[in-house]
Amino acid sequence: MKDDDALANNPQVSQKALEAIHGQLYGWALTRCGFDRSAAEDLMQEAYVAVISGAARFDNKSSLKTFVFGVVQNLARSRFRQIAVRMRLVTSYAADTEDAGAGGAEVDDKESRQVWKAVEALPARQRDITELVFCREMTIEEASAVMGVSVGTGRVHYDRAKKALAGKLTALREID
Amino acid sequence: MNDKEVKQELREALQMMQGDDVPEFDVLWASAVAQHRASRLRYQRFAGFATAAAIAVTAFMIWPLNGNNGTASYLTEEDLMSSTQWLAPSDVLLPKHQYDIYGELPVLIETNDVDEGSLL
Repeated sequence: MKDDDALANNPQVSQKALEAIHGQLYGWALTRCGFDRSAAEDLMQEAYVAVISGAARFDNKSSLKTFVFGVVQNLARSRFRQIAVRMRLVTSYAADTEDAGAGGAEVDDKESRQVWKAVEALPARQRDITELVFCREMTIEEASAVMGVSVGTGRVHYDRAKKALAGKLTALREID
Repeated sequence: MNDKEVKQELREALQMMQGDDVPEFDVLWASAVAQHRASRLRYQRFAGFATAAAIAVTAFMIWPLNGNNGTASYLTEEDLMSSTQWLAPSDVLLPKHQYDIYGELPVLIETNDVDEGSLL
C-alpha cells in the first residue's frame, strides 16, 4: 500500500485537511488523556488508523473537524477511558498533596492550573462542551455532534457549565 | 465575569497546560499507516493459515484410507486361502443379543409318549 492510497477507505478525507487540524486535534486528545503526552500520541495514532482503515467513515454530514474530534472522543471513551479516569484520579490526588505547585509538575503556572482545575471539576459533558466551544472554536451544534448528544442537551450543558465556571473563576480572582 | 473573560481565561489556561509541543503530523501519520499495514498483513496471514488448515482437515477427513477408493470390496476365497494374512470380520456382524441357553431356550418336552412310532 502506497501512502497515496492510505485514505482509499475514506475517500472524502484528505491528508492535507487532517494535517491542518492536527494541532487542535492533539490538544483535544491531550485533554482526553489528562495531559499525558505519550497517551495522547497513542490516541491520535489510533484515530488516524481508524480513519485509514475505514473503521470510522467520513460521509460529509458534518465538518471534517467535527468528525475527527468525534473519532478521538469515542476512542478515548472506550480504550482510554479506564486509563484516563485513573490518571485523572492520580493527577487530582497529586495536585491536592502538592498544592504549592512545587517541582515535578510539568506545568508551572499555578494560576492556569487552578483555572483548569475548575474546568476539570465540572461534570464530564460540561467540561467537554466548555473546551470545545471556548477553546476549540466550535459551535454548540458541532460540539454536541462530537459529544454524541442532541443540540438541546448540548445547550443545557453549555449553559450550566458557563454559569458554574463564571462563579468559580470569580471566586478564584477574589482569593488572589 | 462575562463570557468573553471566561473564554479568554480558559484559553490562556489551556494553552499553558498544553504547551507548544505538538508531535509532527507526518510522524504520527506514518506510524498509523504502518500500524494499519501491519494489522492488515497479520489478518491476511491469519486468514491464509486458517484456510489452509481448513482445507487440510477436510482433505484428511475425506481422503480414502489404504488406497480404498470408496467402493465396496470383498475378499474371494482364493485370495483368502492364498494369503498369509487374515483380518477378523468386524464386530458389527456379531449378534447383539447374547442368548441365555438355560433361560431363553424353550423347555424340551420330557415325555416318553410316542406318536405313530416316533418319540414326541
